Amino acid sequence: MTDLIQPLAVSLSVSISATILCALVGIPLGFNLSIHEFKGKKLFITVINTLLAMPTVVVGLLVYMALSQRSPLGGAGLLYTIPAMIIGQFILALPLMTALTHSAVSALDPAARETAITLGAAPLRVKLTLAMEARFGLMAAVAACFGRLIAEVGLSMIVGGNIAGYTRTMTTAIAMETSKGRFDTALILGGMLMGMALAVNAILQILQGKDR
Amino acid sequence: MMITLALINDKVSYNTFMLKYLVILAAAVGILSGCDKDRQENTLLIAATTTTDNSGILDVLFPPFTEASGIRVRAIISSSGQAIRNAQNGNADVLLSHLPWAEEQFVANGYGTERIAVMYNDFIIAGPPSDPANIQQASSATQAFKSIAAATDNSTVKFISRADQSGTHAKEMQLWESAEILPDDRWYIQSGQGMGATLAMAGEMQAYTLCDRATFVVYSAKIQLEILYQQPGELINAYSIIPLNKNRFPKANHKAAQMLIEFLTSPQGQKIISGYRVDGQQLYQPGGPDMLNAKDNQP
Repeated sequence: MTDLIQPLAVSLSVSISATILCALVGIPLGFNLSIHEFKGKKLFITVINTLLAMPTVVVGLLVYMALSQRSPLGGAGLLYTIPAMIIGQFILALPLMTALTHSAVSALDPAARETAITLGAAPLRVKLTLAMEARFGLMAAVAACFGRLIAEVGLSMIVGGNIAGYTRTMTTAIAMETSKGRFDTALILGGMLMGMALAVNAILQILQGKDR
Repeated sequence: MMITLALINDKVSYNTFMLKYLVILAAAVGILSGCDKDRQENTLLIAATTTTDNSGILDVLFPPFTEASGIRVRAIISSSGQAIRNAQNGNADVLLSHLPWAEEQFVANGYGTERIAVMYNDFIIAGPPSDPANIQQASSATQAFKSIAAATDNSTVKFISRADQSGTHAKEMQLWESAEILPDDRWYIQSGQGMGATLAMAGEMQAYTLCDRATFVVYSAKIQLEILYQQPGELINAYSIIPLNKNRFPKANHKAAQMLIEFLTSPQGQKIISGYRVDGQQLYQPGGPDMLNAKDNQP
């Protein structure tokens, strides 16, 4: 039974940590993008949207190359560890979090921002007010990022190495069981993963509060 | 979440706010890295191959080793070619593979110190029970491959290749070469995957494939294939463990690697290897065959 539970714990801890880090960096970045004008803004947005289409294996390969002992960053021995997977997943989902936040904030009625400024709010307070207004969009962004991360295989496989009892996630376990022809086990793992994803999203919905 | 952030940073301007975010982020990453103290002295990272994983031998070798030495083994499973590459990049502490010519190069180029024989068995040619290419009558493995190629002219006979730079793949390429045959896409399918997956594919397509005996025995119940050609002395499959060059890879856990090598070559380790049975069949012989040299599997 621990064979099934351990990958679940790894999947959850890696993806939840990466999602939190994504939110901490991506949401302010998306806000910045939405509210401020700067040279090359359109290009920047195009680049971010393109990064949404990056295959997980490619990001995984890049992170592997960056963390490999041969590279300048490799000295820390981070490859095939949980922290490396978290960093990799963070890089993977950051464009998504940024793009969705940008979209959610840009969709707000401009009057909300103007009103807050008129009422004398400091710049940060303005942003927090907007965040409250856009909370449904932001929650959707967090949920989408978590979904992308909990379901990905390529990066976890390459950066984590699918080490039994350590960096094996639900998805890499499913891929492995499938390649071994053990379809029953693969489907059970898949079901457990979906069940967990459902639980996490249910919690997010509850945190979101009542519908308007 | 937003409220917490407000409490922390109420009066600060936006740029410094972002800066604090990045500092917290960097600290978080730093803490996370530090948390992973396990990757120290009592962990051994071994680059091992899919055939050893598929056969289950690693599952009976590593736990007793951990019990005896207190060292946790973390196995990165990939094809031999990938495993050697990984070791070359310094991302493992020790290498276990079955690709003799590449291993010899690995040692010659100073990445590893020596090849130490651990265990061996043989390759077999598996195929559909009806044996349309009639390889059961073949006098040699090369002859069997010739028969398979000849049979593809008039029928749906197919051959599945690992095509993944593995030890098995290397042996297969050597046989095609000695048979002087260039496999044709029409009947030659490259799976690019591990032995278990390739066997499953061969079973589904009722095709021929070269397989190590151990993996075949483990999978035989699940697939509709039979061993059609075998000649233990001819198609030797030898596994070596290779410690890394201390000067080249100072950060590798050489001490733990040495302990594993000692365990595997000890009477206890060798007994576990020879005692490992699946379906009542012995899968590996301990030690090395007489011809543990680079001439084998040279493409």
